[in-house]
This record gives sequence, structure tokens and C-alpha cells, in this order.
Amino acid sequence: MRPSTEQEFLAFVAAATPALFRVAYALTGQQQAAEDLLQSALERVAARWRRIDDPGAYARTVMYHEQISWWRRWKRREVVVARPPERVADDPAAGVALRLSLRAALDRLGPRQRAVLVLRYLEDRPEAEVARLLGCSPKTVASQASRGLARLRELCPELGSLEEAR
Amino acid sequence: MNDVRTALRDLADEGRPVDLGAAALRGLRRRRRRNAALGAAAVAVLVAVAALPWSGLRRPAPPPAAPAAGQHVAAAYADADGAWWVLDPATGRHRRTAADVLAVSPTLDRVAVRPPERERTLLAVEATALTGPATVLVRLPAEPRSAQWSPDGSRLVVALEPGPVGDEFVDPGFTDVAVVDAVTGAVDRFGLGLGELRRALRVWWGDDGTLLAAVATVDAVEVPREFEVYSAEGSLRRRDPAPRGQSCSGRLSAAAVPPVLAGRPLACTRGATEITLWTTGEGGPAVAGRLPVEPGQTVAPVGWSDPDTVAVLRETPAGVSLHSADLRTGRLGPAAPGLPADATEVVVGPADGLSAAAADLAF
Repeated sequence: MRPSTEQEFLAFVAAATPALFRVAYALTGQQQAAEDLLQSALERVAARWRRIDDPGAYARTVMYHEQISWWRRWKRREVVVARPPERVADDPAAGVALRLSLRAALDRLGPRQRAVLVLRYLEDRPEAEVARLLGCSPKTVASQASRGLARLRELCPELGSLEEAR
Repeated sequence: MNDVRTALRDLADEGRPVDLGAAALRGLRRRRRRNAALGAAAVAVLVAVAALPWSGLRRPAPPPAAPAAGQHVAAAYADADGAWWVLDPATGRHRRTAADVLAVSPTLDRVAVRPPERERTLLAVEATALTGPATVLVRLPAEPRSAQWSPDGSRLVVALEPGPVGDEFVDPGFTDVAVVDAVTGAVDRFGLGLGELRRALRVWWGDDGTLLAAVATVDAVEVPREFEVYSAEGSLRRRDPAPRGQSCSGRLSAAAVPPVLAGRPLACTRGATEITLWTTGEGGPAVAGRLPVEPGQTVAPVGWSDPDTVAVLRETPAGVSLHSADLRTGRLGPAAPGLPADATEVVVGPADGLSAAAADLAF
């Protein structure tokens, strides 16, 4: 990269990091893993900087595919890499319990289901856009979202009480 | 639906955003530097990510003949996008792997990989076939730079990155290695004792269980000055001078086969119209043969086949290819199948582990 191009890229990263990091964290549930996933995606963005029209969308696509690829390769084969548990900040006990329960539930979803839920309900993206980012049909997105929600509620029954409490 | 939405947002709020722009640029430079060090394209040409689980190597029914002794095969390669493909020796097809390949075992049944961008100091030894034995995970004392499998398949020698990478194409060399038991994952780290003014460029296993390091001085780190022979425990046994001249390239690091024949390491220097292959040893460098090189081409040896034949990697404007080269005639054989012309990195292995069904990939 030329210095001017690098400055453009760095400016993009500075502006896009808050949103992209939220996606990375929602996909991985861990600080270090989220940093690694986002950095990997940004490397690919940097390598293609002059060739892509929407670097934010491209970074999201890379993150989703890398997460799915990683999960297939390492998690499904039940290779456990020990990581220290994330430290949870001081919080009301109920909130902590819900987050832990949600994290455990998300960890038990398939990577594509989790990606669909993050795109649809964290990023509020329409089905057609989710389908484009994930490289599948809108019908697949709808079915994955439906199954993912049902599974999430089954694994994390506390979710229902959250809405009532708020 | 709002409960899920709220819960996901709460979860995402836990993350502490970090500005990773500079780190991403460093990572990109690191990748490109590796490509350059392996003699591949200096800047990756970017194409769409291959989505199919198998490469397009669909071949007609292969001849039912085993590979000949001394032949080689493209055991793994990175495509133009940097994605790695590993050869399944039973089927003769390359399958996509999410990790970066560092080395392939002599019998092609296992591969040493670095998981993608997750645990930079983690090395994994896994089967090349999906149904193979379980993965062995190894925590290294530093990030692996390259790895070579021992000829008996029991250990790996791993060159350790000395620290953060700086300029894009400046290779800082290394000073420390780790010897890893490929079955138990036990790690033994030691320094090569190179001091402040020397750095190692490559490390390989010799064919007698020793370790061989190409060593340069810090003022000209791209040119090996000496080949040093160590015991597997790290004791220096011998120091042999390297041939003088421009090195063919750093591609020897891509070879899974130690470039050693009967105890004599293979080195390569480049002239205007030919490359010269040398064996090194206590008596100094000796010419083993010469191969012609056309303008715009690079040719570099990646392993011995027999005393008169070497496997070489050739790069032309049209792409890369692997060949067998006859040192008596200076002629290159036909391009070996199984390696795309736009590959950016390649790991060459011995063809002994290929099944008869995949024997036509040998060269």
C-alpha cells in the first residue's frame, strides 16, 4: 500500500471499528477471538482496498465466512483450545446470568445460524441483504433465522423474561 | 424478537473495540513477506475465494502404478488468494484447509498448520485425510515462521519469529528454533548461538537426524554465508562455507524434503543464463550441476531425487510449475500436475506416500 492509501484504509478502520467489532464480538463471544477475527478480516480488506466498493460489507462477509470456516475446522472436531474465561464487569446478578446463559446458548448454535441471528437482530439487516452477505438464498436465511431463534429460546429460556422486565 | 435483539446488543456491548488498522497492515505485510520469502508472487493477486471443498483436479482414471523412488509431489499449496489446499494422498485430490500450512510429513499423512489468525503461537499437527487421526495442538514459545518435518516423521523443527515484523520485504532472520514431537506435542526450544551479527535464514533436518541451518550476517541477511550443522539438541557440530554468489531464492524453505543427499546439503546460486547447484560440506562447496534459466524466469531446487536429478520450482510470467531436472543434461521434465499456475506458495513432499490412484501426480 502507498502511504496515501494506507491513510485511507486507517481512516476507514477508525470509523468502522465500533460497528465491526460489535459484530465480531457477537459472532465469537470473546474479546481476543473477536480481535483476531476482525484483524483477519481487515487484512483482507487492506489487500483488496482498491478493488472493493464497500469495505464494510466486505469485512462483514469475510468475518462470517472465516467464523464458519474456523468453526467447521476446529470446533466441530472438538479440538479445545483453552482460553481464560472473559472477565465479566460488575453487573446486576440477573444481567450477568442472562449474558452467560445467552453466550452458552449462542455457542451451541451452528456458525451459520449464529451469523444469521447476528445479522438479522443485532445489525437489523433485511433478509435479502443477509442472503447476499452470506452467499445463500433469502429462503435459507429465513429458515436459519427461524430455527436459530427456536433453538436459542430452547437453550436460553431466560430470554423471554428479559422483554417482560424491560 | 426484541428479547433476542436486546440480548445480542447487550452481548455485543461487552466487547471492547480495539483499533486494529495498524495491526492489519502489519499482518498483510507479514503475509506478503512470507510469499516473497517463499519465492512466490510478491503481492498476492486477488481472486474470488474458492467455495468448493475440493479443487478442480478431476482427472481420468489414473494408472495403477506406485510412484518411483525419489519422486516428489505438490503436497500443499496456497492459491492466489492465499487459501491453502492440502493433498489427500489416498485420493490424489487437494482439499481446502482453513489454516496456513507449514510442513507436510514425509509420508504425506500429516500436516503441520498454523490456525488462521487465532492463536499466533499455536501449531497443529493434523491428518491430511479428513478421516485421519486426531489433531495434536502445540503451544510454541513464539510464532512459527517455518517448519520442517524430520525424515523419520517423528519430529518437526520450527523456526521461531524473533518478534514483530517491520518493513514489508525486509527479512529479519531468526535465532531460535523449537524441536516438536509430532505425536506428543512436546516442545524443546533452543537458540542457535548466532550472537548479534548473524541470523539464520532457513533450518532443515539432515538425513542423519542433525539440524542444518543456513546462516547469514545481519548486513546481508538474504545471502547465506554458512551452513551450520547442529545436533537435534542444539549443539553446534560443524560450520561449512556456503557458495558465494546471488542466491537463487529463498524457496528451499518450501521443501518438505530436506535438501540433503548423503549428508551433503544442496545450495543454489544464480547467474545470467543459468543456475548452479552446489553441495556443501567440510571440503567447501562443490558444483553438483547447472540448469539453464531464460530471462524473466527463476528456477530453484526444492529437493534431491537422486544424485543426478533434482526437483525444481520454476516461475515465469505465466505462472509457477514444478519439474524434475536432469543435472547431466540440464533439461527440465514436463510440468508436474496438481499445482495451479497462480499458486503463491508450495510445499513439496516425497511421493512415497502417494497411493497408486494418485501416482500420476508424482514428478
